[in-house]
Order: sequence, then structure tokens, then C-alpha cells
Amino acid sequence: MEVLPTRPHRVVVSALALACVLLIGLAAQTPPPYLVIGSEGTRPLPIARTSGATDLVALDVVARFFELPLREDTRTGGVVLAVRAQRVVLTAGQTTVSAGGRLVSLSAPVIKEGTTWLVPIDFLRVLAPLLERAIDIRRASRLIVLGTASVPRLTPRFERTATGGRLVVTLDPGVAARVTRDGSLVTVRFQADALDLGPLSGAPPELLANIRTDGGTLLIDLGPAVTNVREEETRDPARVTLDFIGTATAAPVRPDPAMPEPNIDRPGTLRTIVIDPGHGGADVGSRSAAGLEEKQVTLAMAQRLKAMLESRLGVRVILTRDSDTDVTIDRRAALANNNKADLFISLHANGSPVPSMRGWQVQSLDPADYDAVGSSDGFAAQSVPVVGGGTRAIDTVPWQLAQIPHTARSLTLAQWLAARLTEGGLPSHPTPVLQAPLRVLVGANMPAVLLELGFLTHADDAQSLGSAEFYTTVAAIITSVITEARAGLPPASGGGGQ
Amino acid sequence: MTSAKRVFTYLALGAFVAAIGVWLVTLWLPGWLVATRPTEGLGLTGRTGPAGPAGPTGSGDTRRILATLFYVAPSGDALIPVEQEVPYAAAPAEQARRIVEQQLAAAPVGHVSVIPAGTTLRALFLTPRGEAYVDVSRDIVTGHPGGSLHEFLTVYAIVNAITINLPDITAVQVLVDGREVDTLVGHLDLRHPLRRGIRWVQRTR
Repeated sequence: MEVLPTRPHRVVVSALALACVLLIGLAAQTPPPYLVIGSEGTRPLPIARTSGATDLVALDVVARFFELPLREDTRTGGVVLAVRAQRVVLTAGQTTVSAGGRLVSLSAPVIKEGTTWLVPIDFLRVLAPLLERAIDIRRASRLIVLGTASVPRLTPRFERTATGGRLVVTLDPGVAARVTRDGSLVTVRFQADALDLGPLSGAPPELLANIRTDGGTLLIDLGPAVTNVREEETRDPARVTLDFIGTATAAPVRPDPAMPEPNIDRPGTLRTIVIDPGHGGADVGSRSAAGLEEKQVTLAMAQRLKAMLESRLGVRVILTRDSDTDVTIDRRAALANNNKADLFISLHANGSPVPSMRGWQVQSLDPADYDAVGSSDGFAAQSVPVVGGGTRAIDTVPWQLAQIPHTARSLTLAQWLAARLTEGGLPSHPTPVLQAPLRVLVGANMPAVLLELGFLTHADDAQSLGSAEFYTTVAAIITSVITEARAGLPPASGGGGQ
Repeated sequence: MTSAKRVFTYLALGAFVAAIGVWLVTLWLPGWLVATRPTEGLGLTGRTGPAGPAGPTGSGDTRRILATLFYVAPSGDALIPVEQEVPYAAAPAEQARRIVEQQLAAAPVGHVSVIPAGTTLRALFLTPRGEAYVDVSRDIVTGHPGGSLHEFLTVYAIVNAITINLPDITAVQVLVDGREVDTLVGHLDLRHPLRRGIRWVQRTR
């Protein structure tokens, strides 16, 4: 028999349902707490709410957390936090606070809501000198490190290799680590209180199923295709490198299929290439003992390469400069972006205080150097108005970080170009492939590499760098690489990034 | 012994004791204090030691620390760490300033500096976030011979000198003539603070 609810019942049930929805909604809006790591252990610090890019914390929560007396000053309408013998005075609506007699700026104003006072999370930094204790706030990972607690930042990066893959974990600061393996679980124990693990993208699940932390330990779940794991011998405390040896089924494929597809990875769609002859005008770059200037070498090389690419491949080639003129760094990448280039190659010639240093080197962007910039400038979703009313969230890419999503493919391209230059018999730098925070590449919104052709400070290199024969040889190698890239970017081989 | 001889003997003894006292207070005691002062509070990794041959450091304090500074490795593709005496300072900002000044100075005998001669430190600021802003003179640009490798070594010699000797400072931004710059000579992105660059330091073989 079906029992229909009476009207009073329906009202009660509806009210309960509405309350549940509101509670769930409120819970969903509550931002996650920060984890505070100190010598006393790890404790959560709840966040009241997030306003824009600012996390707000209740002042009474802060007071309880650090066991500091808090009282309202009815005379001034402010609130006073006693920190040892010092006073911190806060006033609603003000972005400055008085701490021990000094005015200190905050990232957002102090808010008073009823009896609750809210302060931006960076208020904790105001307390640091008064508490005589370092307070390191890491918003991206929602960590707060107190005092001398050791919480190194871990930046993991996964690269495909001929035998499977390689996980490189960079530590800042470097600490001692010990690697052990138990079945499909690899454990890396660091001499640290906790770990600040950055995101890892592009790791194929058949090789690396998961990566997580537990206190000062990094736990890596191996994928089913891994047959062996080898730790690279190094005394560098700032890096842990693990080679994942895979079965035949885990043979390398194109790097990171989850990454946005650049045209270079779609056969036949490579249409526009921007070649950037480094320096120019008043900026001569490096110089040989005989007076040969880097800006001359790069322009001659670029013009030879442009002619060869256009005649053999029929692609559109744009030079960022075709004469001895000054071109700003931003304009070089902007030219490539505005022309929707599929590939950006910046040409340079190197210099060293040691005359015996020689050889070419292919460089690509190291994204690890932009972690802090990325977390503040953000690849954040922005709300934009749409036709017909309302708004829509879109993911934005800051122009000054446009290269970040392309770094994996840029590195693969760099490794591939290095392999072909090696096959061509040209003398290489001891580190043939280098990742670094390169200004000219970071704004390029496509796969991008920088080729150092050789050292103008090395006698033999300088002689080569001034010869048309050298330009033709290098242009032919680059052309062959691009020809093959049109059919799809192959797996990385040779080289090996630093 | 005559009365005059006794007076002379007492005066000589008194002068000797006074000289010993002056030596204890002005030379031995400061050296002993420096040698026994704990460095953890300052976050220094360098070791303290007795006063070196150099004279006072402005405030009359002759104490010095051993700091790790960086010069080009014989191979040419990296930096090598070299321990050098640097004047001691109680405040981290002042200690960082003295370390950078020593890094900018001429290299010790047998080593080659990666920083153009004539480069001077204009100012140095620390932020509560553990970042240092190092403002150097334009000589670092005008005197630079160019090349990405040389530029990397120049910048990371400064960044590492600060972050390795003062671990509380985690990142360093180089300013030139008081202004933020894109690069020194066209390669390395200097628009934001750079973290310690261990990979630029030659590994122990």
C-alpha cells in the first residue's frame, strides 16, 4: 500500500532536503585547510573562506593555534593580539597592521564579520619575527612550515626513454634519500619531516601508476609493464633519478598523449616555422678572438636554414629579424604566437671563460623554475561574460608562461635534434641537452628549442661558425629533423637533459 | 736593591701586566668569542674562525666566517665551490651583503671569476618570504662577454653564494642598477627570483 505524505509532512521533508542541500553547498565551498608542519608535528589550520586569490583565516583560530591572548579594544574598535612582550593591533578594513610598533602590509584588508575577525593567511608572516620563528607559507601546496622543520619541495618529471621511462625528482633543498623496493611499491625515504610534492603529468600509467607522500617518504606505485627499477648513482642531494625498465609492450610512444596536441605531432600539418637569429643591433652577443660576433653567426645561419626549409619542405618560414637590428625578447616569441607557428627555433652561439669549452648544445625550457610564478600568476580558470548573459569559466594561459604546456614535447624535440647532430659528427657540449629558465622560449606557445651552435671562444668552433659549409651542414640536419617531425614526432633518443 | 730600582721594577711589571690585559681584551677575547659562537641561529653553513689578516670591517668587528663562494671549474661547464673568509655580520641581510661583495671581488689565486670585473653591489634586500634582491651595477651587463653558458654561471654564482651560505634565503633575484631586468645578456630569465642551482655546481667525482 502506498502512503502519500500529508501536507505538513511534505513541508518538513522539503525543509530537511533544502537544509541538506545548503549544508552540502556550504561544505563544498569551504576551502581545504592548510597543513602546518613544525617540530611539534603536523596540524591542520582551517581556512574560513577564500576571497579571490586570498585565503582568509579567523583571527581567533590563529590565536588558539599559537596560544596567543586575543582581546578586542573597545576604545579604538580594533583587536589586539599579544605576542610575547609585543602587541599586534588590527583594525577592520585596514591592509596594514601594527606589529611591535612597526606597520606591516597585508595582501588583503582585515575583515570584521559580527564577532569574527578574518585576516589573510599572509598575516602569519607578521607573527614570525615576534615569535622568533620562521613561517613559510606555501599556498600552492597548502603547507605552512614552521621553524626549522625540513619540508623540501619535490618537483617530479617523467621522461620516456628507449627502455621505458625515467622519473627525475628534483629537491629544493637537497636532502639525503634512500630508495627501496617491495614488489610494485618503490619507497624513497628522505631525511625530512614532510614533503612538498609538486604535480606530475605525462607519466604513462603502465609504467607509473601513482605517486604520493607519507610524511618524509615518497611512495611510487609501479605500473604493470615495469620489470625493473634502477636508481641512478649520484651524489647530488638535490636530485633522485629512477629508471623504469619496461616490457616490450611499454615501448616508448610519443611523449605525454594527455598534453595538448601541437601541430608538429599531426602528420602533414606543420606549416609555419619561426627561426629566431639571437641578438642583433647593439646586442652583439658573444664574440670570437678574431672579432666574429654572435649576431652575425645567428643571422647567417638563420638565412641559410630559411632558404633550405622553404625550398625543400615548402613550409612558411619567418625570421624574427632579417637584418642587423635590435629585436626585443618579447617580440621574438610574440611573432611566433601571432603567426600561429608550429615550431620555434632560436639560434645562438655560446661563450665561456674557459677557452677549451666547445660544442653545440640544444636547450629547452625547464618548467620547474616557474613553479612559484605559475602558482601566483596562475593557469587559473577565469570567469568571462558570454553572449546572452551569464558567465563562463575558461582556462587561461598567462602569455609569459605559454611554453609551460609544451615543455615535454620541446624536450623531446631537443633530444631528437641532439641525436641527429651527434650522428652528423659535429662536436657536442658535455651536456648536449639542457633544460633551463630561458627567457626567449617561455613565451612561445608551441614546441620551442634554443640551439647553441658552438663556442665562439673556442678556436676551432669559431672557425666553423664563420664558414658557409658549417651553416649548410647544420641547416641540412635541422631540415631532416623537421621533415621527420612532419610525419609525427618520434620518441626521444640520445642526448639526455641536464 | 735601591728604592729607585724597586720603583722601576714595579713600573715595568705593571706595564707588562697592563699590556697582557690589553691584548686579552682587544685581540684574544674577540677571537675566542667568534670561535665558540653557535651559527645555527643565523642559518650559516660556513664555519666561524678567528680573525684573519684583513682589518676591521667598518664597525670595528674583525670576526670572519668561512663562506662557500663559486668560481668557474677547470672544465668550463660548471662552478666549483671554494671556501673563503668573509667578514661576519649578525644580521642576515648584512651577512648576505658581505658574501655577495666577496663573490663579486676578484677571484682568489688559481681561480677564475665568472662575474665581470668592476661589478659592484649597490644594495641587497631580504623579504619575509626568504627572497633576496641583489642590486648590482651595470658593469655586470656591459662587461659580460656573452654566451648562455657564461650567463648561467654568472647568475648562479651569485644565487648559490647566498642560498647555500644562508639557507633561510631560498631564492634570489638579480637587479641591475636598481631595476628588474629580463636577462643579463639575452638568455636566462631574471624576471623572478631563482632558486638554488645545484646542477651548476660541479659534482664530486
